[in-house]
Amino acid sequence: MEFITGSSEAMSDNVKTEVFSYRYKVFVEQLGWELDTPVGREVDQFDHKDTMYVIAKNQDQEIVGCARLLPTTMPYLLEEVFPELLNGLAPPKSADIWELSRFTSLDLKEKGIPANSQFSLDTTVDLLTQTIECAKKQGAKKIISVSPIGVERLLRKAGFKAHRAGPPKIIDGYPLVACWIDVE
Amino acid sequence: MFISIDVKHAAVEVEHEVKGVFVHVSNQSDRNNEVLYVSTDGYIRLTEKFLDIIPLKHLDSGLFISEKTHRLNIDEVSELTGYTEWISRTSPSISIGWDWKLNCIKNPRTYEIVGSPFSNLLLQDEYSNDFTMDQNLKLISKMINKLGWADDLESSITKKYL
Repeated sequence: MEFITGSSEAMSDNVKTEVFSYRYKVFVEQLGWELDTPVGREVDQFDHKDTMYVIAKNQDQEIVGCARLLPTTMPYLLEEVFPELLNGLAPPKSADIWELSRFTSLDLKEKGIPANSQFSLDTTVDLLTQTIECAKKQGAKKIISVSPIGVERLLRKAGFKAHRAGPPKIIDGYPLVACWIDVE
Repeated sequence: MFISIDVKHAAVEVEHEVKGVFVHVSNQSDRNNEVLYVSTDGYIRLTEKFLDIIPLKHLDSGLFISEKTHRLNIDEVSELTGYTEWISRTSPSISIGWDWKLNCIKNPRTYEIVGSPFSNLLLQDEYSNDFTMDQNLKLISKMINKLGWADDLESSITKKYL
């Protein structure tokens, strides 16, 4: 497994095209999320030059996982789209708080993946660890994530100190939750 | 528009369930007034005795296996696992979720909690000191055991999958 980390600005267009195509297959085709996105590319206004990505590739150089990190000093998903997940708390705006979203680790060639799954690999915890390490290098002391509840289980399995920010919101039949993650 | 809780008599009076209002918790002598609020770290801090008198409602439950539209025949599986989510009808809201398993072979079928719960709640002792994370999750688990959650869970699962 190879992990690639970098800002959108530093990544080639080819890599970004692969990432957006992979995200489309996972989030739109596999998970059935109703996202306002072009066919074949899952991309939104939070994918801009300052967005950081962590990408996992297998030995055939195919993407099998990815994560998106955004500084909360800029507009971010939780603040703009799901502020209610913060349970009344104002969305944080701080250079040492980053947002984690679009986290998945799924080998799309694997057989028998449950339709509502976004994690299938043994290396999911490694991708999560790499992602949190990447945020730390950007100066993050805390991460706020917006994700399905499966990420809470992963965070616990990986030994991170984390807790939910408020009640989940049910979207397309599945709970979505915001989590505070200690980076230090 | 608030929920007033008389600690001495453990009576709960819900006047209105309106978002954006605080929950006022008090005893008769008014010495232990508590207002639910979210700390900047995202936790709602509360003493155990107040948690005992804030009602929790079922929000959602689901299975970890199979797609949503798949219909399950419970007689064909030996065990089911899933999640369940509960909230307080307060604002801010207390959120507690946990994983469970159902042994389908045992008769009667019984639901069991798997692992520790997930929550935005951090319980405190009588001196307003935070419990450790382990203590906190154990106390929340103890509260879950008193909740009587299986019927709501089963009803939700039945509607979705069976």
